[in-house]
Amino acid sequence: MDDPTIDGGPLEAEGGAGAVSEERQVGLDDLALELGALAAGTAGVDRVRARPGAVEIARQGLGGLAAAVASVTGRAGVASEPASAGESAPARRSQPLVTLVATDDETRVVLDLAVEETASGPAVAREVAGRLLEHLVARGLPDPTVDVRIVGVAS
Amino acid sequence: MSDPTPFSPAARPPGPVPPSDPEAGPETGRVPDSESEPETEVGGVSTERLTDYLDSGREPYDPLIEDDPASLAQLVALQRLRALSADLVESDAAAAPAPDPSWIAGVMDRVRTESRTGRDIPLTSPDARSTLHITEGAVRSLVREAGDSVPGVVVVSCGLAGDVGVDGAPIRVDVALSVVYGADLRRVADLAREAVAEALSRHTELVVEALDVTVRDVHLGAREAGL
Repeated sequence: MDDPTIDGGPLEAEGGAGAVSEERQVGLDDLALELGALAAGTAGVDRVRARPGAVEIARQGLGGLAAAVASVTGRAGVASEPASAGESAPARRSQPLVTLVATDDETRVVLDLAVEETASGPAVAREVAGRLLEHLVARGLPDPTVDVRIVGVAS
Repeated sequence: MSDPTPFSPAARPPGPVPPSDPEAGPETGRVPDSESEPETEVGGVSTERLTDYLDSGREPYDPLIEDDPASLAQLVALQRLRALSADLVESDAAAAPAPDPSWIAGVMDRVRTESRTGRDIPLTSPDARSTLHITEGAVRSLVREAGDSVPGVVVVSCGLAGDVGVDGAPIRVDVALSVVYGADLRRVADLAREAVAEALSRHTELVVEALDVTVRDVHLGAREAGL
């Protein structure tokens, strides 16, 4: 499983409230991985994709850039060998991506889906959103919201 | 309607579909550019690259194509077009010349335009904490794929007219087809309409007040298509 990529990170340079503790960042990384796996494992989901500009969308949803404490785009789903120094990224199959932005008061998750042709798109989106919300609540995240968008139907 | 020459319908030279193209006007339901959101991710992968990728059996995995919804929709459409042309060449080589490459290029230009992400179309959610939607590009690709699934049909263009971004707003869907020469046009159009309606019903919550199917042209290969 790949390491998560960090979008944003400590906000000191952006005028935020302060640096994100390493412990909290690791926790968000793990959570993003879990959310990606949950979404990818939902019946009717063909794949999970990162949404372009998702971090900004999520931050806007949380009241602006200054409010964000931490954000992460987690990669989960397909275990892979560690990339060698010379390995080109395009040679490796991409993995589900979920964007998570958190503040002290709110949590926002943004993701794109391709759904299977035989499934019902709206039903799949609702199921994914429900599972993610349930998981976020179980993990004690404050005031979670999710934004799920279907971007393709796989035949 | 033009002569039933092999893959004659578009017969326009390759290149981007001009916005002022009469066929892209209201009669085909194409949404004017001004109604669409600004696009930033369109046109990242050329048709040549898609062709090469198909030729290589989609290996090695190309994330720029496979992970981009618009590029993937174009790839799938190109795959269907190539499969159709291969069928015609194999089954009726003497009677039907190979498909006109410019026609395929014209259709691919349409596919490229229509696979853009476009507007977000809302889906209902039982939970106020979740926001759900499907992209206009996904719906157009869905319509195209459903129409193409009918034997003897190639979707030339498809469009959604109306305020799809407003929950419950009535919209009109327009689909333009090329149909294999000699087929029962009414029957084929009905089949295409049923396929598109079923796909829209399954994957969207659009309020479709009209689903217009126009047979814009014909191409050869009726016997081979079994119609």
